[in-house]
Amino acid sequence: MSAANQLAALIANMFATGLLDDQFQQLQMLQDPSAPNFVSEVVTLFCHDGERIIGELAKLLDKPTVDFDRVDAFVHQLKGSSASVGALKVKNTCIQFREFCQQKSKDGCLKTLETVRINFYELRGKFQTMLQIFQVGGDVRGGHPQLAMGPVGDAGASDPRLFPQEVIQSGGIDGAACWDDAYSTPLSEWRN
Amino acid sequence: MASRNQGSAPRALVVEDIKVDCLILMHMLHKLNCEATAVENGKEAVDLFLERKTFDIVFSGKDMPIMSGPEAVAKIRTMGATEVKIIGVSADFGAQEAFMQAGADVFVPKPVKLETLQSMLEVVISKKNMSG
Repeated sequence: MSAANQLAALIANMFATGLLDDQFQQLQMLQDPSAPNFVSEVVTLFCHDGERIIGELAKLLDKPTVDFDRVDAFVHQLKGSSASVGALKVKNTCIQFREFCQQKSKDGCLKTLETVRINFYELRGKFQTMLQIFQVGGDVRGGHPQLAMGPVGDAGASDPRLFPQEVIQSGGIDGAACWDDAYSTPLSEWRN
Repeated sequence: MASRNQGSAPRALVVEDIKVDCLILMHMLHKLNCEATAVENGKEAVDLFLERKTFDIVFSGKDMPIMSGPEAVAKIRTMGATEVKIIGVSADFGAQEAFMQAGADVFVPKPVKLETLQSMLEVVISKKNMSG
């Protein structure tokens, strides 16, 4: 399966399982030759920031007296960035989380934090796979006329033809691969 | 897409503490040929106005550390910066009222669409054209 098809299958799967919503397509539309790494920059920033926020939330909720205003402020940040990248499941969990913050329910917050963590790391794993496809993708033009934008970049370098709109809008591929974390690497080993 | 006005690109200020949101908004503004500056909270935005920096348009988030968006908007207006177009941007219910009461011109819900930004900038550019 070509890298472009792999990417299409992965993203179709992420939409189908509710991990992503239309906002992710909006991001893809913003990528162009003048900003060839835009989507990967946003995704990378989201993952780094999300991990930091989840760590802060865990610390705050571990205290004997919880500062729910601070917890809410961090959840607000995660909700905002999730909405902006189209991270639907994470965003929806953050909405629930904020309700527990308003109720000042430590138990509710702790349970929801666990759900946020699960949803976030599921998404992060898929994003990792996405970025790995870029690194090993080779010539993603693969006969796709819209992707014929120039010579292939260096192995491992970000490719401006990544997240091509046509691939994303293809809406999935028959027999789309079921992506798991088999090829995931820890965040610390990510490039950039 | 907003076009340059005789080399005078619209000057935009982005007031946003959520890094992902800031990155996306700045990217959109660059795509629309804006000179865009970003700060992380309302106080930094107010400080720029105190330094007599001028902007054609300000996009402000609501809940930020040190000083919120509506608070910053109110201070900016109190300083006499009545011409600058201020856009409140938030995903929260109730944010619109807070921004409009503070003196914002428009409120747009997050996430912001490129087309929305473009139409706002066209108003700003048209105003710049008329004022010469």
